[in-house]
Amino acid sequence: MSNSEILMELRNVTHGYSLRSGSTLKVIENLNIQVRYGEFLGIVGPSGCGKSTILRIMAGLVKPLSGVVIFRGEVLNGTTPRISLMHQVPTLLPWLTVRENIYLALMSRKDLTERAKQLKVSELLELVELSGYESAYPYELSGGMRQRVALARALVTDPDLLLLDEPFSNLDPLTSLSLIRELEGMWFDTTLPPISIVMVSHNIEEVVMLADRVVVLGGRPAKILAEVPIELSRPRNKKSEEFYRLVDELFSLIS
Amino acid sequence: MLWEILAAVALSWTRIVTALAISVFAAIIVGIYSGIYRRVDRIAIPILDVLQSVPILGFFPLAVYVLASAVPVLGYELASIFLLYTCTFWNLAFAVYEGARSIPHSMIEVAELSKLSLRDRFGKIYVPAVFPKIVDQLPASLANAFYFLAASEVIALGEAEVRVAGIGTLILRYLEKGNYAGIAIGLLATALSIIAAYLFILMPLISYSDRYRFDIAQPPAVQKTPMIMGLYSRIKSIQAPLRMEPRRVAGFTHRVFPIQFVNIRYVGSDIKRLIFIVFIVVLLIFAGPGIYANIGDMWAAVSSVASAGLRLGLFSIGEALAYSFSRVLVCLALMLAISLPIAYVVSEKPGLRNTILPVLQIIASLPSPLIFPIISGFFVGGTFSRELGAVLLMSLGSVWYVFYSTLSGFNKVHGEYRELARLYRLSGINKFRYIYLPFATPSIVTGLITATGGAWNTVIVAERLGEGGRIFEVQTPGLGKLMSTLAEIADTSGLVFTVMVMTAFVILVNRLLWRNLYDYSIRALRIHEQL
Repeated sequence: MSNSEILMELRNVTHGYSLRSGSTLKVIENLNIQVRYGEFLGIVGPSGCGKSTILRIMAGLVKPLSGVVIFRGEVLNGTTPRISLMHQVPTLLPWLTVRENIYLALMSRKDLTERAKQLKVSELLELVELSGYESAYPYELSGGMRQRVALARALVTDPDLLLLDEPFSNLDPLTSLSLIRELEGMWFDTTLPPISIVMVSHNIEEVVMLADRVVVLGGRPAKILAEVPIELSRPRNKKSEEFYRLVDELFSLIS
Repeated sequence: MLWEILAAVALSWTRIVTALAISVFAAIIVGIYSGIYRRVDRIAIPILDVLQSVPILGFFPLAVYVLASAVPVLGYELASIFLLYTCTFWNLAFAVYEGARSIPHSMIEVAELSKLSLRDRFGKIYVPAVFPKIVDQLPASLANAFYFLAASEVIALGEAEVRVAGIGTLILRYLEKGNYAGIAIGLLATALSIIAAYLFILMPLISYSDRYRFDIAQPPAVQKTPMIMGLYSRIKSIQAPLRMEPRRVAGFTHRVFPIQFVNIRYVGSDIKRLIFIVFIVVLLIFAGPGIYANIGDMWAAVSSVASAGLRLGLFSIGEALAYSFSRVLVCLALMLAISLPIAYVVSEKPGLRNTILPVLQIIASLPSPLIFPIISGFFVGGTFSRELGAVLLMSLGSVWYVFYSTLSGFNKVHGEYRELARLYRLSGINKFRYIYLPFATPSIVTGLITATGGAWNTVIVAERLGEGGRIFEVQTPGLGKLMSTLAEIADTSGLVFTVMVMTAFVILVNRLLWRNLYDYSIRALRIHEQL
């Protein structure tokens, strides 16, 4: 595979934290992960294996102890509007309306006019089907709606890469399924951002539902145990035999 | 002289530790019962709230009278400890109360289901849960105790003045004699003892208490590292309160009854009014015998207090009140202006917590009324510089409440929100305005409420320091100045009248201004939980 096909690459990334005793506990060691153009990458692993850390390293929020992150051919140094992260809980500010919450992501952008920013926000509100709710406050929304606001905020910057940190784990199964369907729909639409998505999850069905390829992590410090391509046609059917086989396979890899 | 100083330091510390121990114990009982049991909550918190805003220093002579006549030998010691207790208790009680309120309901249910004994409930659940809150507040309590150290050791009863042995009175004596070496060594010894206490007792306690924190909003004490771990555990723990919050989803009810969920501290106004009346009655019962004994006739006492008002002149009292209130307001503004930037920086760089906080703590604990005489020379120039001096001295007494509550407010900004600011590269001002300040506002207002009580207390010290205002005195009128003048000439009825005016005014302002500000901030910010 040529380099031009790679959007982001983690090269020999090691990270950990020092314990009070003074020693260093490594969470991940010598990790190499590539995110390709147009790819939906799933990362699964037991809880506490450093999945969230990897996502934060990819977002430029955390600087790894060693190793580099290459994004669009350059070393990633800190956060950039080209990469968005959506948290597990919708981190909306309760004192801002839905519109203001989304606008927050564009607030510091100097390359856009005020009008362009407002248009962009409206566009995203429509995309996540929250057009009538722009002046509502987060506490007036249901959990699923809040997560959609968070999604809109993550997408309003037109990111190339969207990072999802267990985005459905706080929702009831029905809501999460409809959100998964929506995300998949957006994903299919090549005119919409982002180019690639990385989703961290411990819900394997969710990952098989959405991902093109799954990286399975395990061990302490975490290493890549396997990389499993998911070549099912979309939209995927949860009840198909192939689907079951893949879910089983990933389960046995983790446990 | 050295031995004299060391013995005095030891004696003062004994009183402070005793007072702190009583405060902690009382705070645990009152705070936990009010935090966990609804019924107690309704009664205890409004009482605490009124009491904390009352200028205790003004009531001190009455307390002394009661205690000194009830317990002959130890009476003065008890009175001294009582004053120290009154200036260390309130912040502890409210911190415990808030801590108890934040114990997850499920945990209390577990205790009930497993039929834990009362002892186990306290020992295994309640006390560990509020332990970090207590430890967090100890520095502020300690600082306040040292602020009022000198005041607590000089007990004036009319013409008689009793000084209990301690470093506060010793330094005052040196000051009167002009023994500057003694003052310097005394202050140094006090400062060193505070530093030692901080390093060897408070710091270990603070880091020990970290293991009892499950409100992870606090940034980890050891910074370089647990960032990642902290993030992880934060994420896990944030879910819990969110899930428990069905009303979060039921936005409609919020719309209709926004007030219902708004307040953690202030309960129905009828109850408050009732309690206020009860409080006044209790006050009269306590104050009655004192006045009775002095004048011989209860009714005569009342009429004498009332006529004292006329004698002093209602206009001049009003004028003094206006001046003092302006000082309190300027003092609050000053404290906020100092606290906001420093607390913001400390919360942004938790690594600083271990360097800046101990330094601040030590500065805070130095007994400012004792140090102030040394620098008061700078503030005797004109009216303005005297005002500045008074406001500064007042601020030194309560800036820590504002600072610590501002800091704890900023620390409530969860890791995810900090990440948000970085992800979207918010400028410092936007980050402060849209994320940090709103998150911290309820805490800041709470801190200001406590600090107002503190400022009214310190006004008595700050407007006139030393007998006859020898050390420092403002040139303009002031309620504190009036009070200490009246105390010096043993005008009891005038003093009682002035204290009543001050108390009524403080409560009124508290009710009209602070309550509404607190409720308004919560409503305007639409914060319905997690605070």
